[in-house]
Amino acid sequence: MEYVIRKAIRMLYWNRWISLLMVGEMALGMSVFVYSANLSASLKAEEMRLEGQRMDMALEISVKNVQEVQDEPSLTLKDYRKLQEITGGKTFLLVDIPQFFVDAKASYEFSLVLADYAILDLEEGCSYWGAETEEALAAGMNPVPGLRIRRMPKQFPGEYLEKSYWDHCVVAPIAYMEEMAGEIAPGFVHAVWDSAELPDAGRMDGQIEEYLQREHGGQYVYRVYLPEAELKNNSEKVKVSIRVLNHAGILILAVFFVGILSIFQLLFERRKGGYGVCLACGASHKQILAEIFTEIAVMNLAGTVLGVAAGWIATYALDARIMIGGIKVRGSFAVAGIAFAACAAVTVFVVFAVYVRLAEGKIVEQIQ
Amino acid sequence: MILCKDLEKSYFGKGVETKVLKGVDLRIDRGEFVCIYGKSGSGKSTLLIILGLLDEETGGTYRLDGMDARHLSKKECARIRNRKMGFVFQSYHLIPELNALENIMVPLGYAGKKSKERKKAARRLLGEFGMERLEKKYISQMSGGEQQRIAIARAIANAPEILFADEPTGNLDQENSRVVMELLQKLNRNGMTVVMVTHDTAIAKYGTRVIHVEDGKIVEKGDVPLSGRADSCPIMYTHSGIP
Repeated sequence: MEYVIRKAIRMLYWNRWISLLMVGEMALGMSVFVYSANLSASLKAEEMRLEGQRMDMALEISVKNVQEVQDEPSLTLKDYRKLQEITGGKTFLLVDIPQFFVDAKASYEFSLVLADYAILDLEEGCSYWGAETEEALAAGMNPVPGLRIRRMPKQFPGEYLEKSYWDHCVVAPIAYMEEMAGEIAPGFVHAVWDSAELPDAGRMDGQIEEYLQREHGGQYVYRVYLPEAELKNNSEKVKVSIRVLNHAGILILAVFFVGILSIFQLLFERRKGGYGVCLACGASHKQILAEIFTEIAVMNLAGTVLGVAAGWIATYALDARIMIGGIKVRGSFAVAGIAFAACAAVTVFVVFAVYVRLAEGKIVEQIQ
Repeated sequence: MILCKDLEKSYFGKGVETKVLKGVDLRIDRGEFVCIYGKSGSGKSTLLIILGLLDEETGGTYRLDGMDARHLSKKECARIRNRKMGFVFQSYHLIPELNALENIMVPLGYAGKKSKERKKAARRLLGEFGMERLEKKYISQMSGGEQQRIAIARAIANAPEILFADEPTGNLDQENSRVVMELLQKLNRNGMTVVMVTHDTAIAKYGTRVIHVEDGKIVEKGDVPLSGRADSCPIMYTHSGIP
């Protein structure tokens, strides 16, 4: 087997320019396919995440004129109380303020989350520290020093957000909104509702917008929307773009497939004599099959690995302005699995197509 | 070693049967240097191909070391070709993608010999043949004579019992033909059985026995004079080999 592999690699080296061309084409096709499939998978995942979310209505705050200095907060404690009044206490508000401290030893980064303790069932007068904030706590980097320090409850509060979110947080009472008003940028405010719980969601969103607009409309614009429905509406164009990319990738792969099949058929015609000589020298058909398989598999695998890696990097690094802002684009292992399965299928098919011609011919005919 | 009885070979094309071998009876013993002599199209190469297990007979029996060739599987045939046989062809048939050393290593590789062992054995052969300088050369960088000597080195790399040579000097000039034939003769003297096909009487003289094939049949065997036959060769042949 060692000899068969060595010889196959020797043959690949001999035909290195054709091999490199094929590897390049496979890599290009695979990268485009993986990139587009990852975008598609991320969009699907986002859609599924929103579908599964209980809080399906959200508040969006944007700055009216970015050139002007905003001298008032976009949402105050008074506003929160008013929202609770409008929605019958069904507003879930989190104010997520990024914290960054530096001392002589290290830098510490976490989120200070202001939340309504009554809703989360937390003890007043305490601050709650997540698992990943231990170092900051030990170094005394406490943004809310007046409160008693508690560990984040293990079960807390998974109903609203994932546990990994809370691990990086220090939670403090919502009342701190007044104290920290200057630090609360519009992007830090997350107000959400479960529309099913609201007595009249269609009317309330207008009321909320109207109230906030009246209070802070000089500097900010407020919009209550349904993220899931909006994503579905806005993602049509995105889906078309992804589909175009996906088809381009598949087309390149199809060209590669026809190319590799033709090239190996031609190579086989040219090397038929060589295979015949090897059979005359005592190679078994199995060894020749292994040789052909190794050659094709090495080429396909190299193309697939490069393509998947390039597609993966592009997924995280390339902003092709296809996705709607806010959707986290991630690599999908299922996509990589499909890419490697396609590589295996192409390998098996091409090996089979080439080998059948060898197996059906007589050794002496191949030599001649 | 080789025993053929009423050996027949036919090719079928477009519903027409073409009989190439029409009942060949032949016995070749260990250590012989047999020249199968005949004109083009006489069936001599077909006979060699069947004896070398590169094709199957369509009639009669072929026994190799007592084994009936018909009962051998493809895998067994491959193993026998690898361990017991070596082949030399008219057009050398070296693999163009491999250099001289790698070409010699081909049968050793398929025999499962380790890399070091393969290289050692191939280098030893290159040394014995005085062709060390060709080690890294590809076929495009070698003369016909050099290619054929590399092909012979490849054929004997696994120390086979029988060497089959199909018109080994067919593409060579007189001087290179002499070198190649002397090489085959030397191998035979060292105990290797050589079965060679030729249409050249001057080449056939190197054998210890000449078998004359005509129209798919053996018409003369043994130490027969070819004088006055196909090519009016003036040389008498004996079992001692050298005239």
